[in-house]
Amino acid sequence: MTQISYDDVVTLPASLDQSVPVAFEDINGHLNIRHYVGIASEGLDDSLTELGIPQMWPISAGQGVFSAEHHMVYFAELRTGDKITVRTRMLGRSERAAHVLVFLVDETHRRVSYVMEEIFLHVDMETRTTSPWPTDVAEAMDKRIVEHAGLGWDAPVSGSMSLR
Amino acid sequence: MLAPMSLPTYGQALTLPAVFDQAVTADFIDENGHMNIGDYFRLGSWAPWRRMVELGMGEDYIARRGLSFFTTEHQIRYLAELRLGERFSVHSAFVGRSAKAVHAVGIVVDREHERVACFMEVIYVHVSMTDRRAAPIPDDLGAALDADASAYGGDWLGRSARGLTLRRRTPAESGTLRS
Repeated sequence: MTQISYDDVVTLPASLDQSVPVAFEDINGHLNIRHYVGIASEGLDDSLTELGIPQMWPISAGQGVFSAEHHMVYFAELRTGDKITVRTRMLGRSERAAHVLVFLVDETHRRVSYVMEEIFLHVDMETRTTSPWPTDVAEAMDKRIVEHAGLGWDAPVSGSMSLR
Repeated sequence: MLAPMSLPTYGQALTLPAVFDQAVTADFIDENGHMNIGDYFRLGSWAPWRRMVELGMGEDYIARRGLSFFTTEHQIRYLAELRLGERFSVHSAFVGRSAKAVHAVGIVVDREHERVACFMEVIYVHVSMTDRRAAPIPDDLGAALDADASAYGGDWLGRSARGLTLRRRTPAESGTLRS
């Protein structure tokens, strides 16, 4: 995958504005990969909350979101103290799945440190099988997909996953 | 697009060395009432690393040799839930390597329902910790990785691990969604 433009990605709204804490370093002296995934997933959760999918959805509404596939590219190390943000681009959805790109951005060095491409599924927590998105969530997703498609830059997808 | 892949079967996964074999504990359970993907990720990505430690990298590779591995890419498929108390094992195998990079897999296997719960591919780049840039894998470790790759996996592994490649991808293979 080719390097992703910082100037493009920062046209998306930022969440989880923070500095890399020292406790997140591993034996290589940089942010451990599991924190890349954790922080990106937390940023994705924030953006889903805006679409009507709260963190406690399984308890409040008996509905859930399960990850089905991930493709992740680590472009650059992050070190303690680096300023970071997470930015989520909604690519598309089907009746019961959605496709997103989540960028972990190194604001200190003005570069994209990591991209996580994900497909996730809507699940009825009673049957624990996939089911169609509720109408209000589907409409909010569609609005965001159109908005993000108009950002003026092509989404750098892996080509390794697609909506079913 | 890369060639279509076929996921490993339960029986195939169990032929690989197990790095972890344990039950789902309460601290792995998330708001969905199953093992969180963060734990799939941690254990699946740790399995090939632990295997490299066992195969001669050792616990003190950085201190002793000034070398290490950085992860550059992951491809993960989550295939089945794991619930509280269920037994699972995590297996590792090496698909191939170049002078400076390794392609490995970590497979989380659901031992209760006899199925693959998660299939994860990883690319590691071998680095010099002096300049934090790619550096050749030493001959001794390279030979140990090659021997492990020959001993385990076989043709099915190559057919399963097609999500990532050691070769740099062309833009056509990466693709973009037009906006």
